[in-house]
Amino acid sequence: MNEVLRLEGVSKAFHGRTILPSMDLTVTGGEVIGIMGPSGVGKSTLLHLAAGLQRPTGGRISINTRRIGFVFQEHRLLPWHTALHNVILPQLAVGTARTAARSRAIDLLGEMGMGEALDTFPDALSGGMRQRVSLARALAVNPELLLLDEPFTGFDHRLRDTIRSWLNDHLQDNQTAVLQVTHDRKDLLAAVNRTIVLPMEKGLKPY
Amino acid sequence: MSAKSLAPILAGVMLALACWELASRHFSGLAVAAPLATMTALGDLLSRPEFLLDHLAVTLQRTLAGLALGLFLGIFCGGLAGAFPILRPLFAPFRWALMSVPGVVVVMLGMLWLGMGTRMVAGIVALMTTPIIYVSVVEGLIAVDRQLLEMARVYRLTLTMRLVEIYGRALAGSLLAGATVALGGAMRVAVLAEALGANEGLGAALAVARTNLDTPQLYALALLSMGAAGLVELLMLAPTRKKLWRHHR
Repeated sequence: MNEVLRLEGVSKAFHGRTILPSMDLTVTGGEVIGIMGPSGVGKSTLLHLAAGLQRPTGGRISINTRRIGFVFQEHRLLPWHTALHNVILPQLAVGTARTAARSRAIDLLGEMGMGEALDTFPDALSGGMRQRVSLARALAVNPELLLLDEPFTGFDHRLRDTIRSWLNDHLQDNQTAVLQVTHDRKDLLAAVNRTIVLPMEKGLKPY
Repeated sequence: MSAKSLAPILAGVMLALACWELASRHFSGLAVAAPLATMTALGDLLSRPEFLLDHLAVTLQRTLAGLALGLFLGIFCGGLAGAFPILRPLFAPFRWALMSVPGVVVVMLGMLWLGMGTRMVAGIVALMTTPIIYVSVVEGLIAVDRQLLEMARVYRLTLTMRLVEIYGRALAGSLLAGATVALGGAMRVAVLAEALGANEGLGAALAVARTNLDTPQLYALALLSMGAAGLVELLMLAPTRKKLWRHHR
């Protein structure tokens, strides 16, 4: 299996306070890893490091793909564009033709029950709908590495089960490596191969 | 605009006109022209092609030329200062000097440096509007949503996409506010510069009306200056504003 991400002795500190203690992790294509732990142990920081958005204080990170999808805790949609255009734009950035990008965006949003809200601006969407657009955007680029930071926030139970099940099916058909951060074990994807718990104390503990 | 929302505006206009009429009856006609006399003078001015060409069109042309130059300089310098914070202290004295110096002083200096006429008026308008635009651009760039920039990095949005979709959009709000303020200021300073150092334009016509003690024409020209600024805002800035904020509920 191809190695998508490797962390070697990676640590992160902010203003002298260690958020993430030394960590080793290798992620290969198709692997789905759950990251759990209480608030403030560096779960989101780990995803930001994996996406190359932050530099580690110590250690080394190798990101061996350019196709990354990231579902942020906050949706981070462009407020001046419709749901549809938010999903189209990253595809255009990776060279997908506009017609194909539009078609894929419509399909993905439709599969997530957003078919009626294609031309709606994020301000007019509920939190759960914005998160679905964010998820569609992440999947639209055919990511080799998918980073999910509390992806089901804002979903009611029924919707969470539906989207979780749909995402599981979707991942089975692909070789996408996934890092899923959650504080709730019930939110973990069924496809998860490994779960890592980030404890408050130093070091990592298998779940 | 609905009839319901128009009614209070109309009521306000009627109240202002009533106050104006009362004031014109109380004070001498040399000090306060009556509304009817002012409207008659305004109608007379607008019916004269030479006035429209030699004064109104000239002032609009100078104001818009100066504003365009001010926009260019403000966006250019503001963009540099926004991208390279080290430049902000360098620009600060210029910004401070231009924003605090009285307009009449700039006009006097402008007459010394650029002589009389169009070059001077447009140059002064540019000088007075540049710092307003500069501040809008710098503040807009400081306020760019860092989270959206991170999203753009993850999805490898191209430089053009980032400039247009994130920086440009974030900047548009503050730039539009700055442009609205600058437009009002530009018209004021253009009329002032023309009154002191030009033979054409609304300001020059104002100076002549004052010399001739033609108070109704003076008031008509003042109304026209206000109307011209309002018209430019209505035709250029309002549609842009509407387009930019269409995503708000």
